[in-house]
Amino acid sequence: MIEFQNVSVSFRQKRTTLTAVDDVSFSIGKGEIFGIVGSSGAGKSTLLRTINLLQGVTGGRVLVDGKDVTKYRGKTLRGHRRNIGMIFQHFNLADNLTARQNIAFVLRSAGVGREEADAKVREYLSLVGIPEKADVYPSKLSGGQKQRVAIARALAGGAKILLCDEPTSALDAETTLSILKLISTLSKQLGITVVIITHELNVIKSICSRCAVMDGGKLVELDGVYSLFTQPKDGFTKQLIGHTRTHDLPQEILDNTYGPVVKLTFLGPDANTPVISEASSRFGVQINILTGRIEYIENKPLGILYVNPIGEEYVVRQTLDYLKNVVREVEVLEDGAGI
Amino acid sequence: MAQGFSLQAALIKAFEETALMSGISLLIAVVAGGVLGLLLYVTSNPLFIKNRLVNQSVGIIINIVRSVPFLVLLVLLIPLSKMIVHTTIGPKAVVVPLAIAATAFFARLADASFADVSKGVIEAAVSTGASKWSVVARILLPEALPSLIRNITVTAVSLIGFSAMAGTVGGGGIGDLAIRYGYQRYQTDVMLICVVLLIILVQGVQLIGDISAKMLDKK
Ligand SMILES: Nc1ncnc2c1ncn2[C@@H]1O[C@H](COP(=O)(O)OP(=O)(O)O)[C@@H](O)[C@H]1O
Ligand SMILES: [Mg+2]
Repeated sequence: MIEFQNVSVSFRQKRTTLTAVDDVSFSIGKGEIFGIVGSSGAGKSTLLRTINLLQGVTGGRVLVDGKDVTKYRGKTLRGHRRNIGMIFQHFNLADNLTARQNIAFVLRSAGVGREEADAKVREYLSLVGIPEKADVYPSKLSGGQKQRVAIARALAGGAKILLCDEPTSALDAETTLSILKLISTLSKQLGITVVIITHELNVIKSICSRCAVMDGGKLVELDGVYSLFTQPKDGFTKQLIGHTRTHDLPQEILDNTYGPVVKLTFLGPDANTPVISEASSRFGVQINILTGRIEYIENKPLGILYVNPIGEEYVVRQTLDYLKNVVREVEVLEDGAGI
Repeated sequence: MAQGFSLQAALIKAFEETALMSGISLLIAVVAGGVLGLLLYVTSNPLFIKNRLVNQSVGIIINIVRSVPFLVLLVLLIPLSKMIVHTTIGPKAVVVPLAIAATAFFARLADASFADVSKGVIEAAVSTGASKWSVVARILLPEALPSLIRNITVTAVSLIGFSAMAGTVGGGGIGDLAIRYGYQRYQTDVMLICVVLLIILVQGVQLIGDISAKMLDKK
């Protein structure tokens, strides 16, 4: 549906050229919710904007439904853009137009008659859950409500692709979830392909099925979201994801534990086996759970536990050997020198 | 008593002349300057029709007009006034230099008003596939309107001042009256009345401008 073929974008500056997107190739399927992550300046926005030609390419091609869009101009370009809605971090609604007028703008400039446009506006305002806000100006709306209006504006013209540039980065955690839920619902309900770029891994975890990782303009990794988060391959991805997978145990606690501190990572079905109680009863070892959490990505569990087995040295060693056998990843952080 | 009556008549006439000179020039400046300001804006923005040559040419012409002192412009444009309004004295004649000066003045301000509109908002509008004209008419203008109104007010106030200056070279109006009676005939009271009249006029224009800008601004 959307295919990047060796896409490059460079910006000429005074003396140097800055390559914001560097030979990127991959494709996004129809109806997919596809994520692009990377740190700030990685070239995510630039790449996204080549899809609707807010940004031209310096090299390569962007295919949408099999057609190279990079040469589109004038009327063809406008027709292409009408099939693609876009939402932004700062919503970008016209402040002096009401919610209704903001949405109607898209329809009216596409030549839709006044009455039909009005009906469409009402339909889409209901679809995004704020039918009562039609005549309200953006300054009187909350961040979440503004993004809902922006989504309605993006889709009211019948767009089949929704481009989201950091759509929740200006929202609090709770509103973020509700907006992501709305995007995912609309994607299913209307059969819309969604490309969402973000620096927040939680966004990717909650709604994307596949995700590309960008660093320094390059595509460094692309995978299904579950495997990306559980088995990252690229060094940069590991580092990016590592932040969400480290513990926040105070040093004082670590210093005062006797015996080893062990990080256990459970993936998929592993997470459902009671290995801790099994080890405990089999070896007569006491296992102290220091911290841990289980999260679900694509409805599959990813569990991380920090445990501290306490007992005779050989018992502890037996326990570790056992855990290494049954748990996907076992990492001994402190070998118990504290004794 | 008779003198009081004639003073009143003179004041009314002067007021009318000032209103006429400033009003017509303002109207021309808003339309012509607005168009030039829009031209400056669209030729500087890649989302519209970025064109360095046009942008800089228009910019230079505007700068030339703006760098000529108004009194010099007044004299320089006498032949042009003669061609357009067939007279070189009276309020009609000074409308030509006034309008030209104010057009150049307002063009810059209008350009700034347009440039102040959030780039993101314009980009979002362009991304919907709307035509450039549609984005200008339905998004850019409403978004820039409060700022445009404030800048129209600034232009109007400057015009009142300039028209008073123009009066002294035969344009008539309140400024002319103030100089003729107050300065040349030592009737300080007439001069004071004229100054008060100008203050009231400027305050009134500013008030109307502020109120309408505020009403239109939904930010
Ligand atoms: N219009 C532009 N002109 C010059 N440089 C740009 C432009 N747009 C983006 N860049 C540069 O390209 C790089 C990538 O930017 P961007 O795509 O916005 O990154 P991201 O969205 O991943 O944070 C940055 O270094 C940025 O400064
Ligand atoms: Mg960005």
